[in-house]
Amino acid sequence: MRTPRRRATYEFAKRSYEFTNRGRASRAARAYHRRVPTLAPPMSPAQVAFVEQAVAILVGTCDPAGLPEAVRGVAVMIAPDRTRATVLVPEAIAARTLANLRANPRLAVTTADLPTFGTVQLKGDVTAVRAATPDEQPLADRHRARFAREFAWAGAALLAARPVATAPCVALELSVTAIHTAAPDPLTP
Amino acid sequence: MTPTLAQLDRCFQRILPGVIATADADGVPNVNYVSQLVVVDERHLALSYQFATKTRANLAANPRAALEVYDPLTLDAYRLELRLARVETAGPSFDLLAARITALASHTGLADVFKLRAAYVCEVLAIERRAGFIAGPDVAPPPARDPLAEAAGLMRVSERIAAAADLDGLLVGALAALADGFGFHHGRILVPDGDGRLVTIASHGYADGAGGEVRVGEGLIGVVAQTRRLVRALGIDADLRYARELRAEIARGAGASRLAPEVPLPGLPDARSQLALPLLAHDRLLGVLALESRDTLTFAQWHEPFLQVLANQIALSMEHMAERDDDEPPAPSLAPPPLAHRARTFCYYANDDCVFVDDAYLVRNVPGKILWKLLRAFAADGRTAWSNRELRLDPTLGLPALKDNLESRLILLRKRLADKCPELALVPTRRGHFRLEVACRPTLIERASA
Repeated sequence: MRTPRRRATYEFAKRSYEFTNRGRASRAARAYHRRVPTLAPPMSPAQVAFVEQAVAILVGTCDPAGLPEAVRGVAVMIAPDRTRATVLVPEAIAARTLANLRANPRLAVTTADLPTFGTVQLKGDVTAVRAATPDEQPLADRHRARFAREFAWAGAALLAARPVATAPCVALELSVTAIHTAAPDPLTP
Repeated sequence: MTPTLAQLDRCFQRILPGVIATADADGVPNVNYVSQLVVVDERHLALSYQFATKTRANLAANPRAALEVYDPLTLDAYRLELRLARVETAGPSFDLLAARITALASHTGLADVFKLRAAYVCEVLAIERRAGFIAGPDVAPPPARDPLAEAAGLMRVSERIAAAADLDGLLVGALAALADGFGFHHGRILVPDGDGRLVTIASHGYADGAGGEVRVGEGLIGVVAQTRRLVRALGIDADLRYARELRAEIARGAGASRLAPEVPLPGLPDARSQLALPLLAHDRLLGVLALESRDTLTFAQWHEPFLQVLANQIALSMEHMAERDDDEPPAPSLAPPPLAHRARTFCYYANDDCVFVDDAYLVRNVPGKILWKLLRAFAADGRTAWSNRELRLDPTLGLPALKDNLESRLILLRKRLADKCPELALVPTRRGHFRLEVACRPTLIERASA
């Protein structure tokens, strides 16, 4: 008999497998999904607040040959169970990220708070990729103000004339398997 | 068209924070801000490694990485595909990264914590502009450099250097020409005082004259003196913010004992970019030319070789001036002018060659010994006329037999007197000669130690 946690893990693994097999999943990816990854414990409310309000969202993926890809996301929403996240990435810059995820669903999302330079990085597996819903898109559009804070040096005029693209977005649904919190202090692991 | 690394120079200056993605051997990605970057050559970039991070561990397991950087003038994003080529713990790239990091760390009291451990030199396999990152229309690229205007600026500075009659004129003229010709409106020249410090002897653009001293090895200027390498630092404000956050975090934890006091930035308190160059003549450090700006992008990569040529010219002229003293004996001293009523007490401490005036520190080391010699001669027989050659030959002053930097020390002494004791002045009379003007009633006291 499966406990609720084991059941969630099983469902996660099943969804991951289904997702990757919709595309061109590699043998390595299929082998990976035959094992059952362990979900991270739920995020703390403070971590949820940090992630959802972060000024910067950095998204990393990796292709089957080991070549990584970095793009900027525009929103992260944490599910009520605090073990899953939805990451919005502008479609215009997401082609390589999506190609990587088809073969290797592993994803890293680093969220950063500029005044303190602290970061929270979520790692896990993407279980679904879909278009952002009309309800989600306003969250992405709100990112422009945060981007302007992070890139403040560029000046308000340039930021107004050349706003960062925030629509349309793809939504990456992530099951979180690890959470890494980093303060700027290198002496603290 | 694919941009070159040189064309992306301003993207690598940490003005806007770049992003690096790496992956471990199992294909698990990691993404974070990138630290310091320098262009090694047209195909290689060096990343700094200060702390044991996941990025570093991943590069050890899988040498491939993706870097995204941003142009602060257009907001365009560029994607670079990297492969780790080698890890360096010495050499030009390492030294350049180390100089930047050491300068930042010493300003913020983090010298014991924030150190460069290695330079990760990566081959750049591909560069592409990230289409679609920005929603707005394209902006015109910044205007191309005008080689004729640059040559004209170089000529203007050269002319001022060549026309200088004395060292003071050379240094002040060169700084003024850098402001007129290139828009570098805040600059100064510091010289070693022989006691592990650099002292400002000429400045341009500072309301208070930008006096002050810098310890060798401390801050950007001190690091340039120590390493004898040009250092250009942009986005200083952002770097300092990060370093102060790091410092605050450490202070809250167990590492507080490793923190040193923060050293205030000399010069502009709100500088956003600095460029400092060593003034070298025959491998000897004559001083440091330090420029700074409130604009983050004042100093471009092309300025580095360009300004180093000028710095070399300034250094060689400094050395040349030290060698061309007039051989004529000094003119007889003029009758001392009537002394003002103000009495001033000068106290000389022999243990560290330090001179105080009315209990306030005035000057030390060689300039202190020179002042004391002049004051004693004035007190003994009213002598005021002196030649550089005479000072140079005086063994009690402790000047080295060759390349003694006497002119720089006299300029420093002149400026100190103007700032702190205007009743005394060293007035040049002709090349290699000067007169001590005394407008007070000096009392001299000599002590072995404080």
